[in-house]
Amino acid sequence: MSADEPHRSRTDDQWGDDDLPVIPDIAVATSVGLIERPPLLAEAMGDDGVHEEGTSLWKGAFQRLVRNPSAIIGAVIVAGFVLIAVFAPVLAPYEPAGSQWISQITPSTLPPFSPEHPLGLDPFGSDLLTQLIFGARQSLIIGVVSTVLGLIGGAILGGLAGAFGGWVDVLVMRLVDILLSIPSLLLAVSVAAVMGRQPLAIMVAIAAAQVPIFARLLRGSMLSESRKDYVLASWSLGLRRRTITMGHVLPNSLGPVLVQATLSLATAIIEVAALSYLGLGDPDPAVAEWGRMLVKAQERLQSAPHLTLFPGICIAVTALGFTLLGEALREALDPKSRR
Amino acid sequence: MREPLLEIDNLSVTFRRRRSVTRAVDGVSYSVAPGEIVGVVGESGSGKSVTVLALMGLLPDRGVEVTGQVRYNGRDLLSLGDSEMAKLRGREIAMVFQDPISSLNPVVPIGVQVSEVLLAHTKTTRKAAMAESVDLLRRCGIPDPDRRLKEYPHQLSGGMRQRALIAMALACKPKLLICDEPTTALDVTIQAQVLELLKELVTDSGTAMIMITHDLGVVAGLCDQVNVMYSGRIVEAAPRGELFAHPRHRYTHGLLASIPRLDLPRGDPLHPIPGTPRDTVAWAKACAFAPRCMHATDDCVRPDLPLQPLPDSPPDHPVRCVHPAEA
Amino acid sequence: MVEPVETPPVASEPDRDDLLVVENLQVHFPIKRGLVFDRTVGHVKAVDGVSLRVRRGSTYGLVGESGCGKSTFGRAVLRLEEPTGGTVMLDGESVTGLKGEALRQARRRMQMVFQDPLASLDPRQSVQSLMIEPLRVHQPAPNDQLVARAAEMLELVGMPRAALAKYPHEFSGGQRQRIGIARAMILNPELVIADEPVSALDVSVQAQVINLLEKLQREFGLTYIVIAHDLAVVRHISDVVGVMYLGQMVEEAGSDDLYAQPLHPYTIALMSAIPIPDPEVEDRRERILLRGDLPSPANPPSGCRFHTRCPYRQPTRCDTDEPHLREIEGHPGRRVSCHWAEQIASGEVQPMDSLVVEAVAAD
Repeated sequence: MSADEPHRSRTDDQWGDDDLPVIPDIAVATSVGLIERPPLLAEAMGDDGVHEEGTSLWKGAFQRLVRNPSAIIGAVIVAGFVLIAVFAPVLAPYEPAGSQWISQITPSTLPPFSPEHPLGLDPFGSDLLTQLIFGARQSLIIGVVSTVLGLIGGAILGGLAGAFGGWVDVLVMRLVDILLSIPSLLLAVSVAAVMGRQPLAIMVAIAAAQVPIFARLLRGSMLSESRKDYVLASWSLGLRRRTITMGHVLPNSLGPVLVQATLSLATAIIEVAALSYLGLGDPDPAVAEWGRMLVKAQERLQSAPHLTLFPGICIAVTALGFTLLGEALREALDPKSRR
Repeated sequence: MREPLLEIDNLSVTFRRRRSVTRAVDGVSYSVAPGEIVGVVGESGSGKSVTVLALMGLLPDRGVEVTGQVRYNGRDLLSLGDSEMAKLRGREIAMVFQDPISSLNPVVPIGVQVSEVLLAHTKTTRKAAMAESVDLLRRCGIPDPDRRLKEYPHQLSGGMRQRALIAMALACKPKLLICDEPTTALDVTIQAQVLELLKELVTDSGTAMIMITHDLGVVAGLCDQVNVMYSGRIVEAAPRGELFAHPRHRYTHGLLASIPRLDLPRGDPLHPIPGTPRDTVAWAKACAFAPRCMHATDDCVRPDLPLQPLPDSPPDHPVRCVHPAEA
Repeated sequence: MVEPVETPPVASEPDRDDLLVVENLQVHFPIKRGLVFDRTVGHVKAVDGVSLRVRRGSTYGLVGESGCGKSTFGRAVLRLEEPTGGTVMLDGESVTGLKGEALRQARRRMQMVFQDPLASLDPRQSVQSLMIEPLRVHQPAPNDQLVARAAEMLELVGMPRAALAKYPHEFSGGQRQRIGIARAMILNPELVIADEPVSALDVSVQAQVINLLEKLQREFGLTYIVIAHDLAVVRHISDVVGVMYLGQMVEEAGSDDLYAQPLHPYTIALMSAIPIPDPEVEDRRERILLRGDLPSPANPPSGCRFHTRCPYRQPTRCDTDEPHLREIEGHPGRRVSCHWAEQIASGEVQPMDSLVVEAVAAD
């Protein structure tokens, strides 16, 4: 069979040449425009989605995220944690730190679990479940505020270093190096010691420990992005420095920082507990806090291990939720996992 | 015609992912005899590399389904166990990859890497293996091999690394050498050196060779038999003289018309193939090249077009096309 | 339709046909060492004294292998890399002297097409915002006009209007390169430097992009510098070809002349190494192999930079005297940087036997 009368209306040399294509009756979109295809073939090819809406990287990352089982588990845990924290007054059966059942407590024994107190009482005569629920509040507020503070501080420093380079970069990074050379817990302890025992101190303390991490991450990410061809292309188009930095380099550098922020929330929650444990937490005994609950439960570790166990589980599960979410986010934002 | 050393028979490779099923190789058959160089030409996604990875047992187990037969010296490679296959790999069948830097271990000196292959497959001492490595590197055109032996991959140039890889592949005098785009990452003058080396090798030792490339020029200068692949299937196969003199499949024909040639008068416009390799249909429905083919008709919409000789083509020149180019 | 560029006529300028004049361009990268304070211990001479002229509306092809400095040259001309010496004049105006805002304004006139279109398009921006971004900076207008202009430009490069809503990663390599080209052309530049515009693309797609570049040149009277390692592509598209080796120009000639008779030993070897998709030609061809590898550009060989690998190397002059680009008798309009060019052209000087691979005996 020869090809003497091929079914087509356009000749070879029209390709990539001269006139814009006239759209024929049965046209199938290919990568070079519309090309007329015989009807059966057009049907076999189907719609290749040329007219679909585009999917941005963020949108694509989100779609990958919701398909990832560990992201869903993480998100459920985090959502649960946030809901419990926000609706603590509604959810908790009693007022926190009530101490109204202090009479039932003896130095060596606690009353057993009962329908009124499903998790029993704490050593101060408050309902343990209520304390745990209100403890979530404290962890969430301190965790989120400190991570946001750390993120803002780190982003400003890292952004300055990454955007301007040169001596600004050297100066900022030496500062960050100094911060980084101090162990984070020690740094937090010193900030808390200087500012005194108040919730703000803990937040600032934890944030201070996170600033260098965010700063380094953002700077490194911005530097590696600004070496890429698309930034060079932006320069060659004569775009302004501000546009290039804010419009191209920064958005492309945010991925790792977002992942780190999620993971940092987990660390922050643990650190809040650690600082309270060290006695640097909120001095007000009326505020329920998982870390302090751990400390107070220590004395009764032998007789009532559940007093240590429950706040411990709360801390671990919440941290796990944020870690799962963060890892899933890292995977979703990774360009290699893109199909 | 010599007895073939390796016969690939109706090989198919299917990748299953969470939501998609991709048939990367779809019933591919070709064979290679000792002392013969068989070329496999195709673009990215044509399945040319996946075919050989499958026969070497180098594809991951999960989510990959390989069917068909690969007979090597009378044995079916696909039914061999991992340990048996590992014995064959490196000793009888060796492979050279495109990217020499990622194929070499960056923290081990070249000499150790070459001699390791010898130690793994032959009964020899470390010292003897080192001595043989020097000889191998020299034969592969690496100057001053005694010194190079102690160097790490990053200290060598791209061409030298590729030579070192070829030396490793040749260490056990394999009967079959598979080269997957061995010169794509190299400059043309270095490519010429490496191709010359490979050509000598086949002539001198009678090794059978499969050459996978996207470069029709490399095929024209090197291969005895050429298979052209498109979208997972062979669309045309012929001895190289016949193929380049009478390309019949519209894809081969179009490809040859679309590349600028150094030896022909300048000024003729190029005739590109429209679309991209992504514009395709499943072979089960129609000719996969039809969406890009300027000669396609509704006759092209038929399942599983056969690969067969045309009435006016020699029997060793099968084509998978409804509207082939004039002979 | 996009309006063609209007260039003011430059009267009484002797070489007004030359859009781009590059004189003795140098790009030396410092090699720094040191623990606390960086000390410069040497220079990588990526581009070391390259001069060329490009006529308005023509295409200048620059070929050479990796490490020859051709890409750095292209970037230095556009001031994407800071030249350490020499001058670049665009249309009689010095580009090398420009600073800050003036340089930013001047960039509109010279554009670049990159090798890897995926890397050169911001992955987080839609095609629409990528396309109108340069317009917004240089030719502000209401948004719908800019979008209309972007759509027009896309159609010109053979992309459907629907592409505007999509993102770079959703296209194939060839389509992305079309978008990259459309973006470079949307400001009506006069000079376009294409750095390996097709080498990252599938073979069957390369010709589409080559034809597109040629079509746009015809339509807008563009001037091109095409940088590539593939001589066949460069020859097809260029009027004049320059061959670079280790930071320097070794030969410059009209495209047809160069391929008819290469005069520099490096060009001869390079051309003999290119595989040709025709077995008959391949079997008849004699190949001249080069020995060894590219020397380090930080420490180039003395005398002629090519002498360490040259198949025609002579006992005298080659390793001591540095050759300069010069015109050769009998070959007007060509420049060659070899002491023995005449003798090689006449056959008096032959390549070393061991480096010549004879043609396969044709029977």
